[in-house]
Amino acid sequence: MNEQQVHRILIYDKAAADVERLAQLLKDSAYDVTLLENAQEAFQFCLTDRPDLIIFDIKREGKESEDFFLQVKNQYSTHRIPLLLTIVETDYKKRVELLEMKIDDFVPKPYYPEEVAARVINLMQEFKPTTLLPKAVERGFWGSLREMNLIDLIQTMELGKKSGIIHLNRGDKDGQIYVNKGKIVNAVVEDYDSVERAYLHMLTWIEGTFNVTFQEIGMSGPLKDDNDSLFREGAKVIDQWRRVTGELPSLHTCLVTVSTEDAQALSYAERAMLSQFHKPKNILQAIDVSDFDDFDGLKVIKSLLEKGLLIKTDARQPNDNQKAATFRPVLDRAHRNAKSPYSHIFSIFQRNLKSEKNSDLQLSMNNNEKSVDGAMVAKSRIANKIQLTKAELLLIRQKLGR
Amino acid sequence: MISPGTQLQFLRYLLMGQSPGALLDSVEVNDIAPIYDFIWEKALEIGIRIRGEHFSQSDMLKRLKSVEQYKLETGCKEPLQRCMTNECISEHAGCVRRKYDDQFGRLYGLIADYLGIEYRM
Amino acid sequence: MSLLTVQKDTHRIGEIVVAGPSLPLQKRFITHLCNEVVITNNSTVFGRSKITDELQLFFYGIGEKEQYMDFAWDLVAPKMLGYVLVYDWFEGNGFTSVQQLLNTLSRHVESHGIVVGDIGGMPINIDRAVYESGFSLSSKLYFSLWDSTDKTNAKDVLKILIDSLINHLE
Repeated sequence: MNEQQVHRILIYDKAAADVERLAQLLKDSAYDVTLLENAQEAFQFCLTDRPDLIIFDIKREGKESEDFFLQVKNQYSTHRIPLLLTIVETDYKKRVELLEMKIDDFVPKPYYPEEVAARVINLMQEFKPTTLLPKAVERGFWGSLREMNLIDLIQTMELGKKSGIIHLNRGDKDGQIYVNKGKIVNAVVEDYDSVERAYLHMLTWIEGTFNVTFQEIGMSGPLKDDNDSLFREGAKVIDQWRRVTGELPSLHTCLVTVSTEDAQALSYAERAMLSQFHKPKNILQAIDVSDFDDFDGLKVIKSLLEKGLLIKTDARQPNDNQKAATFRPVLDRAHRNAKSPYSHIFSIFQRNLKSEKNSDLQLSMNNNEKSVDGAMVAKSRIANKIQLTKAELLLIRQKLGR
Repeated sequence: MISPGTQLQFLRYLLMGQSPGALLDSVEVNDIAPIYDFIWEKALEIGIRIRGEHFSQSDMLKRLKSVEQYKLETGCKEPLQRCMTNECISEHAGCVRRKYDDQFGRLYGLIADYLGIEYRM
Repeated sequence: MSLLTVQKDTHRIGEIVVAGPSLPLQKRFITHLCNEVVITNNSTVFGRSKITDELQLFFYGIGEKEQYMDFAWDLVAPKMLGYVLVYDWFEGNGFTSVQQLLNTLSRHVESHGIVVGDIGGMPINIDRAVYESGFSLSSKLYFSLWDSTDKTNAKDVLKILIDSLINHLE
């Protein structure tokens, strides 16, 4: 279906000045607006023209508008049309009652037409994925990916053996997961040609919105017969993604290359990623346009940040110079010239403020202070280099038992 | 980013069955959502560790208040989406704080219930 | 063999720093893991655990608040495997000082670590399965409960730290 289609809005209300003003504002925003005063005509219009949104006043002309509402909600072909109610009623219980009746939003009267128009535009955005679907779909649900991630959504659909489409929006990108009787049958997202890669990519969308529409899915052949393996893999991906992103600035942070003088010393992957940042770009965009998989891309960016080769473009002065100063590295002479294991062990423990400062470490701290916030935090925190090999750690683990 | 000390404090209260109300008062409003996400993750871990394969997030979600319901009760006129993503935090900081105060209380009560410990308000 | 004759250069050694507001707790934690423990006159505990003839773990227990806040973490951090912060789970002041240390550390040191609250044999009515594998606070930092009256429990805590190191290398 063409996304450029004009969306229809039905206003079922008296042609009063505010209503006409609202109709005009919506027309100005490129909506096809029909204003009808008669309930029967309005319902007929819903059946024949299926508007994308209905704005109506439930109080007008007594019971007639309530009947209109019930007709719309009880008719299979119209019951999914979003409803925006304008209402004089301000009683809280009544408002709850109305929302329980599947009213999508309401505006108290009297209203400013400009405000209602803005709300309609928002509502249309919210419902956009739904309205672009074939008409005969069941009602679904929507929300934030922070509250329910992709795995939760698929689990929910699996539980009820539901079929439908999970529409995801990351903010800058859309994707869809097609589910047939609880099993994933297809995953579509820009730049990802394989179903599995698209699915794995969308697992990393831990922020954004979702919109689930229940409908028959004709496709067969699930991605995997057993969802459990997908969930396990998915949970691992989400967990790893959270961990790695937790060590980075926000993924929407714009970064830019500081210097490429040392580029020859970098790995091929690092050089390739660095080239993405000659112009400022946020982390997500850079990964999307690169040839890297999400994780690999993220790790390379992390490494470049740690090396100080990428910086945030909205540079801020670090605010914890003082803290850095109190943590000034000091090297005890006894540590340098340790003569026995005992002195090695303990002499380095107690900070000796009178002792000689380590010029290398001091220099490194100063450099960090000149850097920008995101990069600095990553660089100025002193990381431990794991002194033992993985085999040795596994040996320790074995010794500890179980 | 929230400090590990703060994370630990909230986790401590969770495992002690203590209401986090007093802690929340001392937290910046912008930090509340990340802390909630952290506790939500820990709550899921606890749920899975206690209930094993039978654990379901939807069970937890059922016992929490939906954003939709909260928005209704406040009579807020903003679109639901803004409430779900806390986009309005700069304009309605108090409202966002109240939303989370309530949700934290429910989540902590729920976990105390799972753990089988007494929940102290 | 005397502890002091151990030549670091000839062995593979992993170093773990144990800190917290209560030196007796640190000592107990180290004692449960090590076959040789030395307490120095400056209130520092040192323990050695032999894994193989070539591989050993060294535990350095550093004293109470004045010592660990003034400890040269920046010097030790790059070399250590990780740190363990122990405190009394039921004691509010101890928790507060651990919290302060943790925040200071996390601003400057990016090391693997685990914070453990000692329940000291007291009933807490929480199934051990809930906390025995720890709770992650970040990719390198974990929290768990520890029962200092159970001699084997310190190993469970150490496992969490070692597992996080292994995961990091994977």
